[in-house]
Amino acid sequence: MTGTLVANEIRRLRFERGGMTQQALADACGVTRQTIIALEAGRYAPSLELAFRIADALGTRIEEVFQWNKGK
Amino acid sequence: MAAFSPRNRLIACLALAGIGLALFFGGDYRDIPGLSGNFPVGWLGTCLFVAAVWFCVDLIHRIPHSDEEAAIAPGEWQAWVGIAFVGAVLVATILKMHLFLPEVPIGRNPDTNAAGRSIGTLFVAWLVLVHVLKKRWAGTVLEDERDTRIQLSAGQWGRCATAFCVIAIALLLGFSPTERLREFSYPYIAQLLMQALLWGLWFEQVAAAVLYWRDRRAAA
Repeated sequence: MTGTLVANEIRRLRFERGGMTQQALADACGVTRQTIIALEAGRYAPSLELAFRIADALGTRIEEVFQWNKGK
Repeated sequence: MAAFSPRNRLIACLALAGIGLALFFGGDYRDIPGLSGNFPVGWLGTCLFVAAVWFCVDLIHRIPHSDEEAAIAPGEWQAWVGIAFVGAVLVATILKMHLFLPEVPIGRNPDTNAAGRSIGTLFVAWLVLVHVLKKRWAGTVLEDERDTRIQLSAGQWGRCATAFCVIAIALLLGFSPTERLREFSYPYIAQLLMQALLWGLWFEQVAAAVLYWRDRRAAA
């Protein structure tokens, strides 16, 4: 897995929502904690379904969590 | 009692597993001074290895989950375990290749039968270990879409490795002089094809472990 053009604000949003742990977010989305770590590090672009699940778990809209860096 | 803590006992069991593997690779029968007749060293090594792996698994259950362990995905653990076991099987098959040279069906050759049993035991030990590790992770997500994507990439590398080995065997058989070809028995060629499959499987495990490790290292 190489770097991705899809940037995200998962880490910031986790802390804004009372310091939600990576494990708690992983459990809420049905993925491993290592996948959340890879997402936050920008090493992995999630599927559309997982992106929606993450946004739902963070209580926000998908475009607030993920941005596409098309100019990168 | 730090000396007898589960972690120290695990290290001791891993050392015993290593000794078992060394005996396993050492040969099937050996003369031991003071003991009459040939001693079934290879068989004893297999038993010691399987028993040590079994106790390792039991001890792994007793050791509390550490931060280091939690940082590694279940898929990555399985890939590293796969590298070790398939690697051991590969080394064993390479060391026992000469047993397949006689033009005797594998079923009627006691040497190849013994080699097959030992290698089969390693495969069974691998399956048991993976099964028990999955039980240790019970209640957690074992696999998600990232694992599936890594497995896909690793599978492609594995297929490439298998294809490369099959081409190598085809070239070997196709371009060897007739005198050399006479040395290759049918059981030997069958074993070469099995080697190609094993190399593919091993390469797949290596690719998966490297992909997981690269992700983990970049995220650290």
